[in-house]
Amino acid sequence: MILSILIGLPVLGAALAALFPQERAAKTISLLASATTFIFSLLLYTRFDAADAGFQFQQLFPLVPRFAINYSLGVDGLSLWLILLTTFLTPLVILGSFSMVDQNVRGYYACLLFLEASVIGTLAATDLFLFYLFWELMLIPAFFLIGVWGGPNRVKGTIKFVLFTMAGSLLMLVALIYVTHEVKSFDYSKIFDYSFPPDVQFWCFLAFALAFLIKVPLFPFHAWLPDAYTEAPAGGTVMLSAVLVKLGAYGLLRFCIPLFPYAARAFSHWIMLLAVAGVVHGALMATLQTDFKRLTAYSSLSHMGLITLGIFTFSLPGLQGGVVQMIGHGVYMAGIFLLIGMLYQRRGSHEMDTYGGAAKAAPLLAAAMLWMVLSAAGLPGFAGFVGEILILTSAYKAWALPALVAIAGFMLSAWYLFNFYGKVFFGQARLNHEDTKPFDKAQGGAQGKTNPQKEGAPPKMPDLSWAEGLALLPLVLAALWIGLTPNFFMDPIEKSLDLKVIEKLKPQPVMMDFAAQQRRLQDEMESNRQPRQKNNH
Amino acid sequence: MNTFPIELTALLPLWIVVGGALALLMLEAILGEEGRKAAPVLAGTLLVLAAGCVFHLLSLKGMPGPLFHGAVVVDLYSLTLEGICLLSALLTCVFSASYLRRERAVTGEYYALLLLAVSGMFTLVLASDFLTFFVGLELMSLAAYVLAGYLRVQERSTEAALKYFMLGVFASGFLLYGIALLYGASGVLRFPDLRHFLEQGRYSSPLVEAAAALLVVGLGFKAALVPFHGWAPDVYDGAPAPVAALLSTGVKTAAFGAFTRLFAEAFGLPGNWVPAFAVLAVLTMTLGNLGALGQESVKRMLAYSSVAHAGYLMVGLSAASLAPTDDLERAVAFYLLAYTLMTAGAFGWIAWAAGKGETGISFEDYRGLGLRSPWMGLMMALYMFSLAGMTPTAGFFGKYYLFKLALDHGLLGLVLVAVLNSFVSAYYYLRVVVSLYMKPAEGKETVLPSPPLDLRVAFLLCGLGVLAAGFLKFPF
Repeated sequence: MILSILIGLPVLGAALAALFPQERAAKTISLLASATTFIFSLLLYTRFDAADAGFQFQQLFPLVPRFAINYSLGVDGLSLWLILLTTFLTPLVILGSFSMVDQNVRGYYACLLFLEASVIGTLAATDLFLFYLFWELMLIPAFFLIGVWGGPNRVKGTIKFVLFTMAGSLLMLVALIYVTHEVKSFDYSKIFDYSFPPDVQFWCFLAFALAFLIKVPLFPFHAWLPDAYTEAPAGGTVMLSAVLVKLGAYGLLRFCIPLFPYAARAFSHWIMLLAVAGVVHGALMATLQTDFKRLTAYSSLSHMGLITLGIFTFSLPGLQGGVVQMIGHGVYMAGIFLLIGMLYQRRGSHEMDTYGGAAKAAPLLAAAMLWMVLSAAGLPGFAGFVGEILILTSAYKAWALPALVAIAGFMLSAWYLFNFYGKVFFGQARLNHEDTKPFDKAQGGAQGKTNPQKEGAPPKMPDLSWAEGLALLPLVLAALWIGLTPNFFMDPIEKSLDLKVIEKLKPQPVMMDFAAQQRRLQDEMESNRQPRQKNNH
Repeated sequence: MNTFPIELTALLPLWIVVGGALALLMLEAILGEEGRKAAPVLAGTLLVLAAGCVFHLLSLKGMPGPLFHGAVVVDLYSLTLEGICLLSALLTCVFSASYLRRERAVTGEYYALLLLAVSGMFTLVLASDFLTFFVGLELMSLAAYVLAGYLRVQERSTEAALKYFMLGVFASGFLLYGIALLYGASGVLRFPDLRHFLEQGRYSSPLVEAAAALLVVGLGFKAALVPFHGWAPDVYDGAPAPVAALLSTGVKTAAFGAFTRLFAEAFGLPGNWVPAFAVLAVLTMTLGNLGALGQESVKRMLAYSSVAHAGYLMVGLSAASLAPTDDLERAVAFYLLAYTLMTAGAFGWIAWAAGKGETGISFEDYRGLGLRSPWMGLMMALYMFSLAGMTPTAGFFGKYYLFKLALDHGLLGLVLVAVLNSFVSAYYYLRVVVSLYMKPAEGKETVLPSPPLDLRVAFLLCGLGVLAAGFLKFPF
């Protein structure tokens, strides 16, 4: 019942926010709705039984009886933290957006809440059809968030985002129809227990993985990311980078690996290579950017590659590191993108060179940004550290060479993040804002605002307002908390990861008629692949 | 218990619309101006009455089955299709009322023609014998030709009617040839008799094969399948928008419903027809979508999209000889229902939003409209999401059932093409939403006049229907 409340409350809030004529009322309602959702979601943690790897808080009733499609929800270790992350971040995003969004305000908050509801639904669904319903439903509020309240090129950004995601999902739908037809059920647990023949696993794995890897996004499928992140309004970028892309990683953990373990093992090296390529590509691209929102977008891409790398080491520390890094990444990326939104609101630009010396004018803002940047760079004691170190060590154990490359790529993040921080908050503005390209006037962006500044004048910038500070404080605390007590986050999920992912990956006693086929496929793969772990079979 | 013969009660919806059509024709002649004003209300009332009968019949335990010595058959499938045709006609009736007032073209016979078209649709979906089938098809088509050219002072409308008529009678010719050949080969006209005859191993007779091919061509014209679709974009685009709603939903529902029944029940085609249907499906989807991609007018885009959707239906129909007839008919009927809700809604929306003389039908005309008229914008956005097949709308469920049917029977390649097409189509449907919400208006900040109550109810019905249809429990 808790889960239905978690989905229902934001929907109710969205409807009320959209229907109330006053903008003020819409803001209050949406903040209240999301805060209440968060408080309810804490029940998930307090009542969660870490010793039980099965689904908890289950709820089930038939949705489309003729096709045995059920509305069935449940939470286990894989989804617990992601649901809490979502409910934790949404009120902060709403609070942080109070001063940023001034057009079509009611719709904005309705979209945010609607997005929250669909994300929670996606994470809680234990029926494959229901999962797909929520998964695709997420696109609609995200489409509006980017497209209506975004920057000057918002239409391009949103269309790219939707079409990329859709391309993956549609292929997943085909595989999903196939899988559920084979098992004659949409129930996740039934499909989980079913073992598919290797060739079916191959194709289904590819179809599911494509959908999730586009969402993550993994290296060659990331073309939507820079545009969508850059063009989305600050609140939308936070939801995208902190919550939505985590669903890709969640999908890999929940569906791709446990349902098709044989194919997952077979493809693991390829995916690790792509993940490393993503880490390096994201980092290199980030160093080249002059627009710091784009820089952060690429850094997010780079860090998501790291998470994928951790997941595909198939070791408990790697997986735990992946999950902790998901939470940490969610928290510090939310912080960074909110702060970027606040900077943009003050100066109307994302160009690093138009800033400078902002630390003097807005010391609290600078301090909060420093905190988040330190977390993102993986400094010990902060949110990024634990996940990063677990992922990299287990990746090194699994496959040394790419892990070393990934470490090098990750070290770059300190370089570009501090470079960005230094340019924006210290020194002098190199360019006057008036000299930058007239992005807002020419293209008529919804966010486009000019904020004229006199030549040679010291940078004027108000410091954090109460609402902004209140939105950032929980993120600052959470970043530290994750860094200091990682076990708090890792313990409840250990059992689920172990039984639902690792156990599934151990070679199953293969049925006799599959044995020959499996050997043949194995040989084929062996012949065109790098050396693999021999204990796989 | 029931003193009336079953023939009368089971076909009551048909009697109501036929009687209503004749009454409406007389009404204006007798009452003059008064009758003209009462026509839409009367037509609407009769349609609601007929819908009530259909619902009542659907809720009965047993189905009447074949009537009139097997000329018609009243079963779940035909009743469901009747219901969908009625929905389409009712929506058209509501859209027309305000549209015709605006265009100053109110006449009584418009509604008489509408009811005549509906009676043709009923006859067509009820038919269980080739003669009834043909009579129904012609009754429906003749009324539709006139309706397409209803605004006879407009060149576009006249051109549409002429094209529709020329190609329509051509198609009827094909169909009649097919029926004649089949009769020559088998000596029977009723569907079950034909099935019985064919099951004795006569499928491979060249006469039967030629007849089947002619029937596919004839019905392909009516259902606007590529390569027989040439008329469709021009006709749907040129006809008055409410009529386009009827042509692309009600007429198509009847044609496709009968198509499905003919090939699933009467022919029970052998497997070697699967590739032919699959090719038609691929061509129809792909060319329909490619055509829609390049359009600058939303109305014309919808016309092409209507062709593409016939292609998705053909994906399901390709499995006709593999899947159980019940499953096929259910999937087709559900898709037609979803398609009717979203397409009729969209055409009706355009009929209202385009303004006098249908001048504002391009993507550019709707810039920023969703933000200025939130309810109207929301409704159109819902129809577009549904047409694009996004969850949790009816369009998604419809596609899901059709694709599942094909995939469950091994047509993986076909489903992949269909999915790819669905992806392409998302682009142009989303373009409408982009225009509505994400492009600032240039110059004219038009706010749509608030639609009258009946129109609002119709839009809301389509919108809520699109949202809820996937989760409702249907008798069929």
